[in-house]
Amino acid sequence: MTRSRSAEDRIQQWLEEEAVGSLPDRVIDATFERSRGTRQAQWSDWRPFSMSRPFSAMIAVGAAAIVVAVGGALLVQARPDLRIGLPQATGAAEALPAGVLDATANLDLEIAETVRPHAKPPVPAPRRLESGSSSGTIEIAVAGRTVSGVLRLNLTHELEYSLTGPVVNHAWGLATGELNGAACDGSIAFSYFRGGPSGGTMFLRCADGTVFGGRVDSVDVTLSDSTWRMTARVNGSYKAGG
Amino acid sequence: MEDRRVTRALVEAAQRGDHDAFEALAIRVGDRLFAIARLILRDIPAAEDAVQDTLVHAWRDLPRLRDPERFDAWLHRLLVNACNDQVRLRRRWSGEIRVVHPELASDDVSSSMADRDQLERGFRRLKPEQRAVVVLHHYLGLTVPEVADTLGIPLGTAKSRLHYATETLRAALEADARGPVAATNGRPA
Repeated sequence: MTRSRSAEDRIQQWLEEEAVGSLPDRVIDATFERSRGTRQAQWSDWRPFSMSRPFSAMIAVGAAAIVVAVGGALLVQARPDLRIGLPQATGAAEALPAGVLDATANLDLEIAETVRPHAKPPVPAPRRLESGSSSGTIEIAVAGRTVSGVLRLNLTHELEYSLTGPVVNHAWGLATGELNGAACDGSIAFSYFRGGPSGGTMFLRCADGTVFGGRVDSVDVTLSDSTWRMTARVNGSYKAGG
Repeated sequence: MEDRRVTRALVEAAQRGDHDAFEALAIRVGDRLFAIARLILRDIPAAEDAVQDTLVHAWRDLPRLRDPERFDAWLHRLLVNACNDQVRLRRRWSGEIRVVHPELASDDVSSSMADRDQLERGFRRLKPEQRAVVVLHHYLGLTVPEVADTLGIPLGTAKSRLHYATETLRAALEADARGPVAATNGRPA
């Protein structure tokens, strides 16, 4: 009798009964028609918009793309010795305490069409990171309202960067990856305003205790000869954990 | 085991741009995705759209799936996101179409019509994210950590959603036990 069975059993049986049915062939056919007309994503897809779209919109959305910088909110809270903030937030650059190298990396990132989806840079043998500066690149494709890309720091590792949500003048996302074999995760937040202040912060915390943060002092996005060219100046530093 | 091996081979081929492999893969998973979407959305046209969007999205982004072994979890996350998109698009969560299978209410089946009616009512009171957790756990049989991993949410959040949803459905069943079956609020399809 039904009453003797647990609620979970009854829920499970109800779900199984409700789930009976097959995906109609017309849906399958329509799906394949759409997928055959859809190009698979490639990391080299750096021209996310039709060139016919208004330039300003393209700039605004495409710009939502760049960041590498030090000192996200978590880092500031958890590791004050690595505190780095946006100029707007701090008013003036803070000197890092002794033992932590002030990291200034000038990153001229040119998004080239030679980027390949899985073309990882050579990975040197694992070495223990201490503290110091770090430079890197971030390559981001913008498709509709979604940004995805790859972040490379010191060319020792890759971090996958994913972001969903409105990408107009500002956006945030999550970054996951490995640093010298240790899993890392963190966040990226940035904003871009054409002709105005642009920048962002980034923070990563790795399983071995290493933290990395960065500040984007400037973000510049230009479009010429059908190629997106993004240049970012990054001040970044990291500190080994444990 | 063989099934997993075949799925992996199809995923890897589809990642390289083999559309035939992708279609074979889509046919293998289509019914399951449709079932999950129907359970979450309670709306057949919306479920069809969600599955279609999910599969097209999967084709487009397959090259970015680094571990083919995680294809199922990845696909389920895409589907739940597509269901959420459908909810936002359609905004017709309550009191819409209610599918009734009278034959399932006969004495030789263990789930009574009363159960079904009350569960339907309870389920419609849940938010889409709570429905997704219930479906992944109770229908697909995923553990709570697997549900959390699939949806990309903290374990505590998954536990909380499942607890709330289960209690809501349990309360609906207990309400049924206390009194006669009330009139349905949906329109039989």
